[in-house]
Amino acid sequence: MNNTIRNRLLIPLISTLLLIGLTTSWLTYRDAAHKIGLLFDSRLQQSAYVLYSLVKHELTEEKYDIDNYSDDSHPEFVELQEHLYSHKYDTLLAFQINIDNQFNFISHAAPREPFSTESQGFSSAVYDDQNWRVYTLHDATNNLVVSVAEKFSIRQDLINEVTRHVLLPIIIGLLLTSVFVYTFVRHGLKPLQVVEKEISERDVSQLEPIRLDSVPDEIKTLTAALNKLLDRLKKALESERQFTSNAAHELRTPLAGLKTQAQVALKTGNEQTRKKALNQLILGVDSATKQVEQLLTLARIDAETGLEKFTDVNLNNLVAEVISDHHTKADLEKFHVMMNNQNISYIRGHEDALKIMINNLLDNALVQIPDKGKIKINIVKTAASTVLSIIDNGPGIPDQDKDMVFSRFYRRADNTAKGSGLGLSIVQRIVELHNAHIELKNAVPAPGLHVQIIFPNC
Amino acid sequence: MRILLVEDDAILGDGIAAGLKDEGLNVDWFRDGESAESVIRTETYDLVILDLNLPGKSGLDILKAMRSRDNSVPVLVLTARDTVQDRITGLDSGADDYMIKPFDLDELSARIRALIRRSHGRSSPVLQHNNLTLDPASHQVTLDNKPVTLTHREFVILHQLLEHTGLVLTRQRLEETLYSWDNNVMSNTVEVHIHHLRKKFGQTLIRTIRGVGYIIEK
Repeated sequence: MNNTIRNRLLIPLISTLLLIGLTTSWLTYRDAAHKIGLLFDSRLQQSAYVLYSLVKHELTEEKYDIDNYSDDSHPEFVELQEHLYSHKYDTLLAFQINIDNQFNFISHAAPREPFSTESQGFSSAVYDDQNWRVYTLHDATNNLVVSVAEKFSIRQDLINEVTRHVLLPIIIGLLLTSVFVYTFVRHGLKPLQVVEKEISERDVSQLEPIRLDSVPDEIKTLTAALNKLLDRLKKALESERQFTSNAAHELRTPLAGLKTQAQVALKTGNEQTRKKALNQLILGVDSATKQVEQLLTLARIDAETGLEKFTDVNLNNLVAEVISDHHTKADLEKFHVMMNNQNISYIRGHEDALKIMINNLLDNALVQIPDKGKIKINIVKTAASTVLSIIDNGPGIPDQDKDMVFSRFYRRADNTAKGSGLGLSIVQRIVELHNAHIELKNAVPAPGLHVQIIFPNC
Repeated sequence: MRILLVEDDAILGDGIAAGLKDEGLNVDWFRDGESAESVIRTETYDLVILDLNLPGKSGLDILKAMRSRDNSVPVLVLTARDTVQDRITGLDSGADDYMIKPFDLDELSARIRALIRRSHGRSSPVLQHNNLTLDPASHQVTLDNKPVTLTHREFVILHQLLEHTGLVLTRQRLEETLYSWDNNVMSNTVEVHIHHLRKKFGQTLIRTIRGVGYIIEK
């Protein structure tokens, strides 16, 4: 069975209805059987008494008649005339009157043996393959036994009839209720189907929010959350599209540079110009290569959204590794790494991404600082966070430019050094990936840039 | 011919400057919008090559500002953006021509020549004055249909004067045409080149307007 809200509602509701129906039916049947049993028993008893009274009266008043009668024809049994019993129950009812141990009167349907071994009261008997209910009255003084019997099937018929009459409306009611329950549940869940249809018919280009006006309150929160997701998705796709378009355009400029330098080298008559153009061509290829690499890095990091590659990373070791891997000995003298304790700067993170981040920040700082500049790297762990600081004594970034530098392909006007315009975008993306926070401050003492990355402790 | 190149990419800017200098053009190259903007306000150029995506100030803003000041210098826009809408926006903002990166250097210089020619109200690519012709594309100069050999700087000065016949060009303007603005110019070099030109074409072609500059009469 599918795990649907419809089934979760319908199955318990309809089972409960069925259970109620069955219980009601059973109780009704039992009650009817009991009541009808009592009623028939009391009628049977009454019949016995009436018969007994009649016979006793006859015995005291006209005893001789019976004697005579007996003497005349010596009948052991007297069967009553059939016409006395023309009711449809005549074969279902029977009596025996036994005087002085002789069956003087028996009804048409009665056997010629005593019905029951019981000498007094109610009993059951089997005669003629039928179950009979018997009531026996024993008058010892007159040696008179009156037995009245009735087939069980009579009361059974009545019980069945009563039960049928009572149960029919109940069953019809239950069936109708089930149909209504089914219909209402379906109707109640219709808005869900509408939302489902609306979502399933969409493709990636249709990220408009789901209309909330016709949606009931219970799903409103769900659809609202979904709408938020759609909105984020739309923005992400839009920025992706924008980025791809920007990236393609940004690559045209270095390509144009390469082509132009190649043409200059080809056409010029001046050997010096040719040499310079060829050198520029090589520089251009290097720079374009770096830009492509940065683009690839960014694409890879953009795709990295899960936490599955996160490990415990020692930030101190990472800084040391990046410095030793990527920088020349001349650069090394510029770094002033301050780490307070080797063991406490573990963070949860993506090791490769963090290396790229640190490398980009150190590259930026190296480009900015003067010849004998210094870069301070500092890692501090507080109760709430681990803070990585990279402080250079370059010219710094004016406050009004501080937000812009994170935009992809943004290059500052006074940035004469060549860059892809992607370095800080990559840093920011990695920072986001770690739920961290980046701040650009003015170094103290000025001038200089103080980059602070705050990793929350987990 | 004095050309302002505004391009932030180091390799491309250097390539264009080198290529155009090789063609005998003088190129001032700036890498950001703000310095380009200020140099356009103070200096005179025959043509501006403008990249649109610039740090500091966008090329379109510079272009609009130029046109709003009634600066009618021909502007050739270089851009990486290639949609029709981008081109329309560029041209409507006052660009005279439009080239999409990457482009061909020869085509760029041909378009530059065409733009300069048109800005001087000529339709023929070859400049003609009486029995004298100057072809900017081939650097050929003829007098009475006979080729005349000129040095690079003589050619540049003659070209400049012929482009502006009937106008007095100051010595400073000619100096600026001759050298990129970061080069030092000896104060008498323009006179020296004029002297050589007069030797080759006769004394009457270029007239000196004392205290102002030089002119080739219409």
